[in-house]
Amino acid sequence: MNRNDENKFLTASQDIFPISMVNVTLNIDNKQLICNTNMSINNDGLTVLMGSNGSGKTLMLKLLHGLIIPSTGYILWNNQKLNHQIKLQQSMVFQTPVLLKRSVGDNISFVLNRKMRSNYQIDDILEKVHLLEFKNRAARLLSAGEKQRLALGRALAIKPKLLFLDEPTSNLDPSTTKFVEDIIKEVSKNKTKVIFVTHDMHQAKRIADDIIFIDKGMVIEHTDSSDFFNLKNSVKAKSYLAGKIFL
Amino acid sequence: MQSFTEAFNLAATLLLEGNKELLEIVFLSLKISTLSTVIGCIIGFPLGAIIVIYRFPGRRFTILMINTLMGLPPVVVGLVVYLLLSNAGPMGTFKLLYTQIAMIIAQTILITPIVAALSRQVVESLYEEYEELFTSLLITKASAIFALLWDARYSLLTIGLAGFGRAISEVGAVMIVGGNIAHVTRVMTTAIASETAKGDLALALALGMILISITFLVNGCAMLLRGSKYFSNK
Repeated sequence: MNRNDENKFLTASQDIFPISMVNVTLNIDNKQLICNTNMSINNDGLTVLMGSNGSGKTLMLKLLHGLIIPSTGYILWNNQKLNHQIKLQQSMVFQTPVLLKRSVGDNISFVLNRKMRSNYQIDDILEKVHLLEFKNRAARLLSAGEKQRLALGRALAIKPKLLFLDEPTSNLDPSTTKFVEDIIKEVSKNKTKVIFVTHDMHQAKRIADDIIFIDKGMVIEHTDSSDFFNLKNSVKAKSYLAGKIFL
Repeated sequence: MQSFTEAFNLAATLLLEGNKELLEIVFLSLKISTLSTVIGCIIGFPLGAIIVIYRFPGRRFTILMINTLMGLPPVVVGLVVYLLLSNAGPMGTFKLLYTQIAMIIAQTILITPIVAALSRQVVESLYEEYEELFTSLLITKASAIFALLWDARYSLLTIGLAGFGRAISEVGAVMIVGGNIAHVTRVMTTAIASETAKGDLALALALGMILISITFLVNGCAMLLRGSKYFSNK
């Protein structure tokens, strides 16, 4: 695929914002895990989905990404239902990086080939996530931090308009966490909407522009980060910030 | 009673002398078993992956059938293929009975369920790992099958060798459909059976030792190949 073809593909992409969840519920095994959710996410900045363990953050992310279909309600992307063109503009990094049993470079090229983008970017992408020297190494032999950086690089390889990150730094040391956060902040500044799941309040404080606080499958509030951490928020959010656990 | 030493010496002598008949039998065994294994793998690998990726009515029954067919008795396969290929059978017009093609057909029928069932298990565990990633990346099912088979290639190599082991050591089916005709369809296992029946136990044992040596060499090569992935870090 040459650059002209790639440009044609890029111009074919459509606007996908705002994302609206309308009366969305998710039931699994007769248990309601996401309850009647209504919210809208625009294309500005970096949104953090925050909540305690088991609150439904990851499920919410998977619903938004289209990995799970809502039991009731629907999700609209700029007033359209999810379609192939919309899906092409998203990518996701999972909490535990899923890497193909191939070399580091081949993990990137696999995505580039599938997403109809040319392979000339491989070195640029690996350089960005500081993995160029490992290009020919087996991905499974990388350390946890390197694996997560590769997963992030692979997600960025398709130049998504929307990037979902499911606790990508939960198993990383502080320096790698900072490295990943810096990349994410840079990506966010370059017109990629980032939706980031974390339960780490300090991390949310560092990176979030707005926060969606979830508890027991319900969106308790969706507010600016500064308002959230200045305790201009709900009782539940205040309790969460105070370190109290909901059961 | 002829001793193992005598048999070993005979095997070594036959090989060192380059006994034409023995080499013919050995090469024919390798040819039939290799072709059967290749055909079995060409059918079995994708079949195993398709069963993992696609959801279709009767999928569980298909899995059950393939697992059941892993234990197919060779003589039954031989009998069925014999009935199909005999002059009165539905494929009688092709005149394939007592040919090498008939032996390949019988061995392929024996190997394919083994390859398909074991491939399914390998691919299924890999797919559990990859499924969300593939969904996220909008990978088509056809592409997913190729990707899974490629990433599982080292395990599939071992499965292919298991199939080869089954083929080269099989006697019942090839005896029925091949007929153990000298210079035409005589392979090591059928030769061992006929030499034993004739009472030439030393030659039969010598052939058995060669058969075991070939299996040992093939598995050794496979081990080296599998080891090489660690050296190449792939």
